Amino acid sequence: MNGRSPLTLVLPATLWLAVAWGWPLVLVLSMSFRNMDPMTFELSGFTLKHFREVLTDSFYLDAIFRSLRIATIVTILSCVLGYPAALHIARTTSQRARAAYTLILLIPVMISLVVTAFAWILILGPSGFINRALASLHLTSEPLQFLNSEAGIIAVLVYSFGPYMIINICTALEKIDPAILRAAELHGANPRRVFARVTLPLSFPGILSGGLIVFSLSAAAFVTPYVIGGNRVKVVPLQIYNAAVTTFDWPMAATLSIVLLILSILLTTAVARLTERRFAAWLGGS
Amino acid sequence: MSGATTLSLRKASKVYAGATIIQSIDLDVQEGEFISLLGPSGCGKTTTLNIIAGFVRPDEGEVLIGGQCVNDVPPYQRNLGMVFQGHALFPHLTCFDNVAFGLRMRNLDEATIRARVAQALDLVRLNGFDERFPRQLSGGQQQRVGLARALVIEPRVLLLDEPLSNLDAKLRRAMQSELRAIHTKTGTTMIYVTHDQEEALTLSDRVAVMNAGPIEQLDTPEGIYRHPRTRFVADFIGSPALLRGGGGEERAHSILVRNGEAGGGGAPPAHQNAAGCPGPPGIRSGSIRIDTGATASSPELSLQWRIVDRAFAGSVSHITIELTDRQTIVVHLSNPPDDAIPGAAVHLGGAVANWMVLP
Repeated sequence: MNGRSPLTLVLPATLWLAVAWGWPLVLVLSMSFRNMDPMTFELSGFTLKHFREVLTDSFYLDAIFRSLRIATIVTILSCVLGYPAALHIARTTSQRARAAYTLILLIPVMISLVVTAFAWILILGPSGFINRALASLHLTSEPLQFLNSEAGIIAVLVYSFGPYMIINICTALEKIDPAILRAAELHGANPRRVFARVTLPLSFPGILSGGLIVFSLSAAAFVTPYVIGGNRVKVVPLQIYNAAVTTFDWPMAATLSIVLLILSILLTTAVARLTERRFAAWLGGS
Repeated sequence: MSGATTLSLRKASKVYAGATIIQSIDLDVQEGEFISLLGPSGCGKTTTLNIIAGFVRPDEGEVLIGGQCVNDVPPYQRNLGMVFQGHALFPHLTCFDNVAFGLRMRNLDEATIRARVAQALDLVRLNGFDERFPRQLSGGQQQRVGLARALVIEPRVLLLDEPLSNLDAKLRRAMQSELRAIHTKTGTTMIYVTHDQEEALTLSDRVAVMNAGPIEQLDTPEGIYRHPRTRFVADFIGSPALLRGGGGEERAHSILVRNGEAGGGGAPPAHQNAAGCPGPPGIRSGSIRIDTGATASSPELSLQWRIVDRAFAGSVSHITIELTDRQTIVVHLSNPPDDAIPGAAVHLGGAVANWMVLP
């Protein structure tokens, strides 16, 4: 220790978060409890009517469930599709191949979501790559509707956020001592059972952290649903945007934001708690 | 050792990236035997163990378990057990589940598993630790769980890959005798990889000394120590110092050894080295006696040289003695004469029986 207290070290970051994140959040939270005059935009009084509306009106409830459903499906798909890739990367010993894999993984993360989404329109559109391939193989007579649909949004979100899942799983896999896998194999576990009994449970922390990231990002995604869904698949971030920019109903936008934030936090911590309990003894603590 | 051959290596070789790791290893391990593979790091002992386990495929030669070639049998069907250097316990499983792992893989019923796990934990004196996770155990306890996990499946051969090297010296000695006791009790055939010669000599029925090639020498600990067949074995065992009579005139002390024959009243025993020729005589520092009196006591071979340093190190003192050609050797004595101090002239000697012919 160099005598500097850990508190002073986190002070700059804390200040930055307080100003750039904490304060706007407080403003949003307070706005969700106010009445707003639609003509003058003046805020007044204290009301719970926005929350009542969000939690009872099917227009908003549908959006909430749709958002959570999309986020859940994206998380599961990222895990199922990403796990084999992570396994392959973690087992790759060639440095050059690893560098290539890392680059490929980072491409979706580095390229702007807007660019990604427009590129995917070319792939998913009625005369896009996939539909033309399906038609030329005589698998479909009519082009499939990927755009303006949940399926299209899910596909692009998996592409955009999947790398976070792969990287997290990969990190967890690399932490597994190869001797542990050898111990399992020598004491009678065939490759399938080594995976099911040892590799998979030991990579669980990676699945968990990757899942939390992918879920939160997907639930909060705006650009992809907006571009791919064409403002027709109503997810919560789109409703927030519409309330704030189209109808100028800022308190409603604020309320939707708060509800989405709380639901996201509740769901992710609940999943983390439930699953972590089994692993608490070796994940952390004493 | 009598009994059937449990495991054999026949001309096993392995080359990695052009470097020969092991070459033409022949080894026969008898039922119930405790055999050590001893050598410096990089000598191929771990590769040999991995070939036996099936993690590494030999480029040439074959592995026989119970007389059957198992080259094409995957590790999980070889019915072997292994204790690893870094414990390699399953961190997400309790002590009980760690030990039960091999039994579960063999699809035994839960009652049998419970009974056998309890028995194995009892054997390593860890009863009552069932529900602990590995990280809640000390290093020694973790290694005992590792031992129980490997023993519980009653393996054909138990492989031990430097299992004690992560433990401190005191615990290591305790575990050595415990291991010895478990070997006696279970009669399990054990192959023990180590770079620690004392450990190998203490524990083993036979020791195979390795040095990146064929086995240098396979013999009882006594045989390895007293009658090294190659120069490598002579140097590697019984270090740090080996007083060596040279073959020619260029080494003054070698002449003295020969002169000692006249003065000391005895000749080195006429062993033959690997080439079948009588080689130069040598003696281990552990067998050297020093005598500050005028003459060496008969019947010993002795050399007269000068002490340059004396260092007290608890149970022994390190006496550094300079030879003519500015070479020094260090002799460890538990009770050196009081006048064996720097500057004193000494006779170095040892009982004739302790001299050996060096290859």
